[in-house]
Amino acid sequence: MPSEIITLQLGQCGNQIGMEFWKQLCAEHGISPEGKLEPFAREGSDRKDVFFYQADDQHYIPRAVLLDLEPRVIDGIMKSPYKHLYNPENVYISKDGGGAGNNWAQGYHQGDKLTEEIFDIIDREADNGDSLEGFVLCHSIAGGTGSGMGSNILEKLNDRFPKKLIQTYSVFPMTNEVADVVVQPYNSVLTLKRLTENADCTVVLDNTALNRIATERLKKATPTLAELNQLVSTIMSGSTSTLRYPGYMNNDLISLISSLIPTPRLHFLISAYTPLTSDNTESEVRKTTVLDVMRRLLQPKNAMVTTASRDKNLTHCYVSILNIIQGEVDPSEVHKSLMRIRERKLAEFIPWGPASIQVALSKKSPYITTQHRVSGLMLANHTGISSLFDRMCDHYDKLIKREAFIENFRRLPMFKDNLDEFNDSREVVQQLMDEYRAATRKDYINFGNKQAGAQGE
Amino acid sequence: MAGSQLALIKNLCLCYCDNKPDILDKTVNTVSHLLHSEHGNIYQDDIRLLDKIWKHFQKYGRNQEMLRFGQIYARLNKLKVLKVRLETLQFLYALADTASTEHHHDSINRPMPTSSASSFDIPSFSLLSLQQGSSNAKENGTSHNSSHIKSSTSLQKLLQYTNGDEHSLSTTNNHYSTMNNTTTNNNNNNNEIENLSSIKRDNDESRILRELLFGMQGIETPRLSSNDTSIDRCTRSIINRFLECGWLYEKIRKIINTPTTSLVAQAFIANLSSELREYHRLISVIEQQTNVSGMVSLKKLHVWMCTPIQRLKCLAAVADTCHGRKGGQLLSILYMHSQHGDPLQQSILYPLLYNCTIPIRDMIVEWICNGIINDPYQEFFVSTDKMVSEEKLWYDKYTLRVPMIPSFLSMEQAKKIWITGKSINFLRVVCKDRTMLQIIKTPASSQSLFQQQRSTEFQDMIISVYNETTRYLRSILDDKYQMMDHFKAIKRYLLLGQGDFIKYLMDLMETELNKPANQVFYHNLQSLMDAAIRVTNAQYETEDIIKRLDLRLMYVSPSELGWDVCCLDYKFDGPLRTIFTEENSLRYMRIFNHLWRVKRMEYTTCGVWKQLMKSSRQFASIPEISDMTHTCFTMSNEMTKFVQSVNYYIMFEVLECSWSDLLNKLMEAKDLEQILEAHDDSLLKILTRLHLDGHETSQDLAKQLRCIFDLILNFGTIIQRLIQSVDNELLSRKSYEQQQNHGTYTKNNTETDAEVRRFHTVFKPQLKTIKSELHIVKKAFRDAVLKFLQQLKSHPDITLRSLSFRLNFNEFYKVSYTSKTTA
Repeated sequence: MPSEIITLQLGQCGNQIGMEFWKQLCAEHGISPEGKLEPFAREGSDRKDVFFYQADDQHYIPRAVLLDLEPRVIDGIMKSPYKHLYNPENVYISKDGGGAGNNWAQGYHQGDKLTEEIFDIIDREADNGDSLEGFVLCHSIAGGTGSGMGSNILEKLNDRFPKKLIQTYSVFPMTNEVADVVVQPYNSVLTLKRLTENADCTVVLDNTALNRIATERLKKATPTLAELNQLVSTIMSGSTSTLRYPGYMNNDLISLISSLIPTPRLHFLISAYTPLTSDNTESEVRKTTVLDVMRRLLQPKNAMVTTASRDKNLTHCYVSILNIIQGEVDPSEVHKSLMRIRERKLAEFIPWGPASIQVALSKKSPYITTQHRVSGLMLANHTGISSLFDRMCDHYDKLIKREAFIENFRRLPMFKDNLDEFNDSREVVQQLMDEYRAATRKDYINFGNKQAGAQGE
Repeated sequence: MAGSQLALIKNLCLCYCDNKPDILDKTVNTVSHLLHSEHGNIYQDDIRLLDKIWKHFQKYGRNQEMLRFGQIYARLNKLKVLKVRLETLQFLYALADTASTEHHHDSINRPMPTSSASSFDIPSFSLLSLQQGSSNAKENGTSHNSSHIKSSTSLQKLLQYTNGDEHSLSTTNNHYSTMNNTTTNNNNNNNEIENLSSIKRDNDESRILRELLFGMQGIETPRLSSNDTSIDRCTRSIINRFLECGWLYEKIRKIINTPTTSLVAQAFIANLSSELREYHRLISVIEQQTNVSGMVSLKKLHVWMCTPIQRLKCLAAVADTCHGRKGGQLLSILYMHSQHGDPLQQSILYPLLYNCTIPIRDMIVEWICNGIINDPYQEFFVSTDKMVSEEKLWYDKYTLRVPMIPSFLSMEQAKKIWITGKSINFLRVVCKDRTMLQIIKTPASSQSLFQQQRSTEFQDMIISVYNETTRYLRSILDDKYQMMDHFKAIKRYLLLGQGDFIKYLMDLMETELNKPANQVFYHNLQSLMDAAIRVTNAQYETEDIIKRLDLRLMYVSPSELGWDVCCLDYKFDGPLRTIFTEENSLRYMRIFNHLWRVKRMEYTTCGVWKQLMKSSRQFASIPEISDMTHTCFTMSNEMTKFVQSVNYYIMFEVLECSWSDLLNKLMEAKDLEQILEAHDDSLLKILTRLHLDGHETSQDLAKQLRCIFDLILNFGTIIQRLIQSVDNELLSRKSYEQQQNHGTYTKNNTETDAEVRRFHTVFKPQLKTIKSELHIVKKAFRDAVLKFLQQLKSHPDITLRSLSFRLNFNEFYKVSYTSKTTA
């Protein structure tokens, strides 16, 4: 089977959103929680083989590897109706069961120790496919396992599978409130370095924005974790829909992301989805034409990342946009919508190269009924994402200045001697922010020159 | 009183029925029934009744008869012979009424209207013609001629009767002369002079009359020639008028006698002949009258011949224009003549048109019901070519002969008829379906063809047969031959809709297709395609579709690569071959080839992007080249976006738009012709929007795009070389570092020197050439894209122009172009 994708779910958050993702995929492909094809489902219109493979008894098994250092979440999954869906060999819980204690260094260290066992699973899974296209990693960058072990696995994946794409769905922590994990800024910055250097594409899921969307759009005062995860799984299933329903374009991950990412480091994508409704709200009467969908996708309030449109005297802009429209669409509407968006200058683009709103059409699952004629997902590369990193770095800088809570890190091998890794990571994040800011300017085309100059000095 | 009334009635009836006892009883019955009818209108005074009778005359356009009736009535009134005046009038009116309704009824029911048979009657005897009509209705066709003879004897009687009274004759004559000559001619004054020469004149006139009767039949009459001075000018002009009859008669006769090869013309000639027969009958009646002296005079003849001359003129004119024509052309001419305000001309042409339409009507019915052309003389508006093969049956076997379409049929109707018959033949021959569709129970009448504003019978027939036949054909195509499935399969495979299959196929074939075209072999590719089918979603296709999927290698020229010649193909057979003709297959191949090429570029740019991304860490470890690698990234980005934009354009503006269009049209399409049209339209649209339509700007665009693609491929190889040399460099550095770490300090300097030398002699020159090549490609690419955008702007197709909108959404290229020109 061509272009298989293996999903790695790491830590509490990663497994939770992974769980929701598989639920969604099963529903869309007509696969029962036990992995059997529902009697109403028909072969041929969709491609299940990208994310599933079939066991000898024709059961569909997700190409998923579930990893955690503590058993709670995975145990929960194993008690759910979906317990028979996964390949039990692909579920790995650290034998200590102690978790990473929300400590990046702990997670990273444990990841180091468990490398052989983990990569046994991954290698086996990789050999399972004909031509593996890449990995999708689900994790949070705030905790210990997802961030620490995740960072470790990212580095190793790149070494062991140098030709495979690595995409991550990374949940970024809340930055506007007091964090529930005090060392969250440390964890985030340390993980961000690995995401910058070792991932090919990161879909940023900003918890702040997710909460905001859940409260505003879904009219929920205190959204539950499950509802937030539901949002994430919507994004994940939406962004993979073109891979699962073959069409003229975007049949593999690379064609999906190659035009979104111009240079290696500018690979942090924001996402938006419309229309969002939850079960308990009366559905608003809305017009869902292509133009409406595309316009709403460009509104910041629908974005899953809180970004600034301006900061430090520069106007942020889109490097690239990909809209995936699902549903019954008159193809001629697309061109008209694009014209209107350009006329009204609804989106600002980079000045240093060609950029446009690419629109992909994808089929909707025939097994799920929605009240909306058209739904849309946007994946975009926006320079405003640097403001998110900026906020994270602010928090980090405040902590590191006082060397607060640093003792837990010093206990582990990486930080035994010095805190160079901290500084190094901070530096990488700074470079990333600088590059994103530089990308708003016309002279980004000569960015390499400056870099070379800076290196030379 | 009652007895005398009955006797009177009997007497009247006897006169009316020409002493024929069998009709007599019947007539008496009818008459007495009419007279005693309770429901009959009882008129208080004769004025109102007379008024009714006037109106009746007017209704049938018999103004002369009306005048005559008025005169007779006035005389009767004056003589006071008739006691039961009112009753008589009532009787006559009732008689006229029944006769006319019967007559009217008659013309509807009988296929051959009798009006033509009585067409050459002498106009003044309306009663006669009425009687004749009713008696015709009662008698059968065999006794047709005898009734004419009888009618002529009754005419004789009536003429005798009017002549018996000298006064009445003179008054009638007087009346006619006042009618015909506007100058008031006092007959009494002339009488004395005429008395002197009356014998001579009578002799002269009877001689002239005899001659004239010949002359009127087109026989040469030297004694009436213009140099005969014994004939005065007035008579001469009358004679000339009659001789015109002869000339017209001769003209028509000649046309009748020309042999013809046309059914319609035969019908036309038969009709003309019967008209001439009627004319002969008239002449013979007149001839009979001439034997009785004083019965026929030139002036009388002049009055009698008034309508017949008009009739002959009209016929001759029509015959003249129709001469040599056949089939629908002839009908068109007849129809044109029948669209005339003159009721006489209308009545003359109606039976002609009626009879001539019958052969065509029969052909139409035969064609739309059985698909058979029974047309020995090539006059039907659908012609067939027996040499045409099955595959081309729909296109070439049956053609519409536009000049042969009768003008009373609309083009739309003609096309519907054409398509209906074609569909039947298509079903029989190509689909091998022998189902007989029994749609028509009774064929439409002949007049409903040319009187469509009066009756929709013909239109209804065509529409119902057309609907039934095409619906059946559509159901055969849809259900038995799965036409829609094949359209969808075409979209999935030839138009690359089945993306996973296409991608895998490309992956598998890449090495094979990189070879020169003459080293690419069908069997190698065939097995690769089978592998791709097995693994991708194509495996879920029905066996029929998979069996049809095939490859085709196009013509080979030495410079081409496998990419240029390899095409997916989809095999068709049976009726599908009519929709997806060889020509369309070739078009699809051209489209496929183009799409395949663009797809290949997409994979190339994606591949380059991936290589660059995956090598970025290696690049980062050599900071000296960060400038160059950054350029590589931005160039790759530019190319990726270009190709993606082209592809998105193709997906939406070309494929999806035309596909949804095609689907809508196919849903609406009733007959195969509309299906073919929709298919053709969509193919042409795709070709135009892919600038494959052969237009000059399109060719330029295609060339320019080729050039851009070549640059992208060129860029790909440069990137590969760059990565290769970076890898080599890193390897050398690594081994050097290892040596540095493990080695002793003895050869330190020389090794460092060697390392530096290697860097300067190997890596640096490589970088330098790569850099300059990159620079060239970059500039060339920009220029090529700019040129491409400019060419797009001037393309006539508006959709193709919208490609430039997509390519330059943020107006990046325009900006750089203007800055370049200002700089």
